[in-house]
Amino acid sequence: MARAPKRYNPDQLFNPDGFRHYRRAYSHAELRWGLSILLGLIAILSWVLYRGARPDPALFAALTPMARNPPKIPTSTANGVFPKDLTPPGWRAGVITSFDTKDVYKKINGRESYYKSFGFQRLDCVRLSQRSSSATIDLELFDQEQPQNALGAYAGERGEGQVDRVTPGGVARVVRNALYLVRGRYYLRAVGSDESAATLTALKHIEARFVGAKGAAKGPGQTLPWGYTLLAKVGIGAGAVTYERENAFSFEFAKDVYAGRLGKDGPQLFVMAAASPEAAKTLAAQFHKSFSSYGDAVGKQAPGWVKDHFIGAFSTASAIKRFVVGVRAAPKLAPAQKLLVQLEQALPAENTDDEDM
Amino acid sequence: MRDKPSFFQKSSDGSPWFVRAGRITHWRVISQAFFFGLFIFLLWTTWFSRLGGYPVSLFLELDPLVAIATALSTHTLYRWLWRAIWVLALTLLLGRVFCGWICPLGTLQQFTSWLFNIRKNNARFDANRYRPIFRLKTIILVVLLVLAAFGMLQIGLLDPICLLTRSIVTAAQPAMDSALPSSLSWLSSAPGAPEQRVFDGAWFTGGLLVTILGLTLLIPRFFCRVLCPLGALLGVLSRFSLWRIERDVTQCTDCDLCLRACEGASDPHDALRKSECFVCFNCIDDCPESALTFARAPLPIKDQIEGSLRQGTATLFGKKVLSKRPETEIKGPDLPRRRWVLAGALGVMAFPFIRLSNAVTKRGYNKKAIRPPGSVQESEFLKRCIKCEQCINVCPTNVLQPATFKQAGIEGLWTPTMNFRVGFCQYNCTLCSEVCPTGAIQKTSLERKLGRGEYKKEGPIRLGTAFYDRGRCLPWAMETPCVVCEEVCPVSPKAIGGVTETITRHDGKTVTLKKPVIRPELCIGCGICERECPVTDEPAVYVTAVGESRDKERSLLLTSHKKRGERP
Amino acid sequence: MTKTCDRQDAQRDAQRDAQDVSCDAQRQKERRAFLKQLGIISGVAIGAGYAALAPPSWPLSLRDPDGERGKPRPKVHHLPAGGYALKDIGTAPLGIAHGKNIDALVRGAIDGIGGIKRYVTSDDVVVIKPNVAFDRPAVLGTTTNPEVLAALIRLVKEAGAKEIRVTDNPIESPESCFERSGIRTAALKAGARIILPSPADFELLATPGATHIGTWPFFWRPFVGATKVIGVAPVKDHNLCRASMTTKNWYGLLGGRRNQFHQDIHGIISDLALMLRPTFVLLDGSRVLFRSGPTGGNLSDVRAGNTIVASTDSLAADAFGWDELLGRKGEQLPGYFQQAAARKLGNPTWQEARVKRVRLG
Repeated sequence: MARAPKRYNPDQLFNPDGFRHYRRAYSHAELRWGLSILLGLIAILSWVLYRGARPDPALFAALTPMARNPPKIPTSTANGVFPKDLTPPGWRAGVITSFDTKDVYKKINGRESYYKSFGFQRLDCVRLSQRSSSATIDLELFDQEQPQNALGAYAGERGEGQVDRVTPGGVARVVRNALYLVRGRYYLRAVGSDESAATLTALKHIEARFVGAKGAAKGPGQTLPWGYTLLAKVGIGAGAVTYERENAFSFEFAKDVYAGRLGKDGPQLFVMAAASPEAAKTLAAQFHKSFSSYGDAVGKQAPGWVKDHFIGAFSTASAIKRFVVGVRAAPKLAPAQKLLVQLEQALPAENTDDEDM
Repeated sequence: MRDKPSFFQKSSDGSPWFVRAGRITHWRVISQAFFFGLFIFLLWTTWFSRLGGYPVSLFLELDPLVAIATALSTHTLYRWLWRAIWVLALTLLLGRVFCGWICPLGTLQQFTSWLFNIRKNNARFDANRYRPIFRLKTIILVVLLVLAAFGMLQIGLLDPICLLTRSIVTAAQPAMDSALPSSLSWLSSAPGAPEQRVFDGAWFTGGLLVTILGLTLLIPRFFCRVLCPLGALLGVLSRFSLWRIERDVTQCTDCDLCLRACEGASDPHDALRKSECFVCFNCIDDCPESALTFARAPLPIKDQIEGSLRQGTATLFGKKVLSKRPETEIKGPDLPRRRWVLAGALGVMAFPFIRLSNAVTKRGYNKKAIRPPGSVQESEFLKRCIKCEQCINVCPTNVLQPATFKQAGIEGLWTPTMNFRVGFCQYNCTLCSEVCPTGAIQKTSLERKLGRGEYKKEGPIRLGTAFYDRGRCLPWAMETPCVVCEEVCPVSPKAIGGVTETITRHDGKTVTLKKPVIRPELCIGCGICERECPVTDEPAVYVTAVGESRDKERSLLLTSHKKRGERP
Repeated sequence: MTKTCDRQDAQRDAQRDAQDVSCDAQRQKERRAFLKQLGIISGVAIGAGYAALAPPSWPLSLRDPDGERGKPRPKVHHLPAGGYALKDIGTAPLGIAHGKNIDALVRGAIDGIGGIKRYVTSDDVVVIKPNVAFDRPAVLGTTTNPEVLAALIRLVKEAGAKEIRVTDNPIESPESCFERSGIRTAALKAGARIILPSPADFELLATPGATHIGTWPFFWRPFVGATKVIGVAPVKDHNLCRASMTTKNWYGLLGGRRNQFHQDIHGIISDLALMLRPTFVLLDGSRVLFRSGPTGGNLSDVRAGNTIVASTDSLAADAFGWDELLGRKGEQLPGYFQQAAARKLGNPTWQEARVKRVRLG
């Protein structure tokens, strides 16, 4: 026997008789077989390790997804059409969003036709927000193609009793928390979220930037259109002038009319340019006829004045060279006649800058 | 007491120590230790950072029962299942070598009953005698194979490799992990997992293993001898094996010492039951007369004996026969023909009983039986899944869980389902499809899972569809901001959108809420929304199986996923 | 037996004497056995009585009259007072570098705030916290650019740090997040150690003054023995808090029920800023995930930022990222900026701070 038999002790923790066996003879063949089995096991192990070291790369790599759209770079934070240094100190400007005639409805759904009637081209919006509070100012810059369009849109949104200031190249007004401003072909609305001093200061800053900006509000007419200068000569400030691109005074034929009222209830003077002196005469006659449709002629000389049936005011229109000038709704006849003369005298020479109109 | 003899002294027959040390049973122990270690190692490497190219499901692929049963149910042999040929060849040549030398569950049982043995020799002889109950395993095998032929694969319930894999994965590994201190966390089965892995029904799978090991104290290798369908299969096959244990009746004195440690209860002291013998060689180790050899013995020797055994005059080839038992071999398993028929009939009857549940039907299928990505259609799935839980083992998020009776009935018990309250299906991960040995989860590339490249037309694999329970969702029901679900949604564009609303709360405070909604054409059912939902007991967003792309009958939307899912 | 002894015949003196001796010995033995048993019984009884009835404050007492004593009392940890920030750095708090060469950018940005040597010395154990929240390749911009991380590790190494630990507790499975984002390879190659979370690594951390995370499970293991903490975070859009940058990055150090944070995300981020005061942070603007954040997933959600910012004030760095990298200048800053600024944890008006800006190749 290989080893002395150990005493069987059942109190041992584990099998007390674990390695016992009873054979008496051993063979070299078993050893040889065993060694070849060992070789087999080593071969299996090497194969497993060989396989293990060669993973399928696809299993661990993540797919790099292809972009379905080319990366879209969001709108630049550059100033774009806005003047430099627009942002007041302590405020920050957001991303500029722009709209053209096709998609402006996204911004002002329902009211876009108003701006379109004034030759709307493009709208740029940006929000300024104050760092120290939650105050914001929304800037909307309308490109109306022509200065008179911008002024027209501007004037059309003027409320009762609001006062305008004439600025170099335009007009502006601040109403409570909002700044309205026209410069050249651009009409700017800056609406603050509150009426705090900070907001108002910021609005002043914005106004100054627009007015003082060089090249920012580029476009024809850094100065006001001729109609404004003309009416200014008879004492009607630019802020009181309106410009009707079409359908002025609800007269279908009346297009590109500048009009301005002298005083709160004073007479309304208007001018328009026609293509030729003949056309001007025709237009004047049309005005006369239209005024007569709800009034009676006063006196005999042409162009005659018409007194309104209902409010008793006096109106007239006359053609001078290729212009039509007129007075509407004058409470008294004599001062109105004087005004008309003044206006006629103020008319510019034949070759004015609005040849292109 | 005598002095302890030196290990290096000569053996009693005069051979040197290394011949004694190099006897065959020692090599068997080395082989068993090697394969058990390899088995554990491969389970341990079944994890993202260790996987590499390891053949982690090697033992399952070597398992001839898996190969034969899936070949019966699917008429094909998936991926690496041909590897079972090695074990098959070994069995046809040498008998049930797999059971005695390779099978890790056999090793574990043998080790347990060896370690805790308190029987003295006489009791051990009795424990290792053959009993009629051992034929049960062959009946089990027949029932399982008949079921497989009908297209219902249930071998996984009792196949030793599946059973041990399952018990270790779902019970032993998490138990070990929870015991590891922080400094040894690299050793854990799931390193880098911030939370302890949990598995549904671990008490059952773990308890089953403990029970099997405990029963070895009553009957050594109880499971192998009584229940194991793989052992039964190898037993049937080993009737053809060329080599077997041969008892030399002219040497054998009928001392029965060979029964002392016989693993298979194969009666080496009498007519050897070839179908029971594990080729463990313990009988050779215990034979004092050197009467037992492992030999190529195609013919029985009974007819060659001359003379009378009773009177002691029998001789074999001129040598005196000492043993009173002339028989040396019983080839086939001990199962009368009527029992074979009974077993087949049991299988035929079991099929409709089990199958006519809701699991594979169009209507009434379980909404929470959500299968891992790449899974084949449910009826095909049940033809392939062997419940080994390798997918569950490799899953990095713990979302894969063994199905319960409630979810999947007995047919789908322990098959993998996704529990999104525990984990979620990671977007860039297809590991479960890589380790599945049978193709229940078909090998799936990332491109295929995400519906990119050549799979663009098919669209991504969808596991199900997410739904909101607006009565539990914080923004919908409780005026409280949340939308974690939107944040974690991995698809781009996100499958969770929402309506932003500013409302005045009961206390007058104004809050802006984003109330989430699912965009079903984009949702892939990955369940990360459900996992991250703060309403943890019954999440306000939850995924159910409807809309899964593996089965057209379970689709949700009319319009194809791909067309609606594209960025406009 | 004693009676038998008493009845002994007086004539058999010698025998009786001998027997007396043996009787006495017997009695003595019995008495000893009895006393021993009695001793054991009374010892066990007194011990049990003491453990069960002694007032709770006495040593070895088990008494718990109201059930409060038996409740678990987890240990609460604290980060060093004042965090890991240096005092009186005396340099510009914001260094910005624009350009394409990542190595140069990282160096340039850190030089802007005084150079790495000012912050890391040879005895330091440095924890670097990248954002590895998702299992995505780096080009998708959802995670910190591994090149930036590697450049930072090399710099820290150059400054002589004793140990560099890279750590994060991602949303998705940590291993695959670190692998597929390229962070693992980059960090190991550059010579850092990676610490991935395991269940035993989380400890309760106290953050005095925090609104929500007063005590919260914290990924504690990397911070054992750490002396410096550097955050390096990508610039990401975020569905809920609008922007996820260096301050939101600390989210990845917490465990527990993080999915509750979204109910007051701004409060939480401001708590995070309070919880961890880093040595400095690096804002990785090499890529910008400008929409579909924080998960992204599409290259069209990402654009090149070509900018790295180093800062000792994460709010300033984040505000810069909001203005110039996410391109949201002028939009209201997300609420957490104001909340954190109100706690004096930084200054979101980065323009007011001293800024060193360089343009590199």
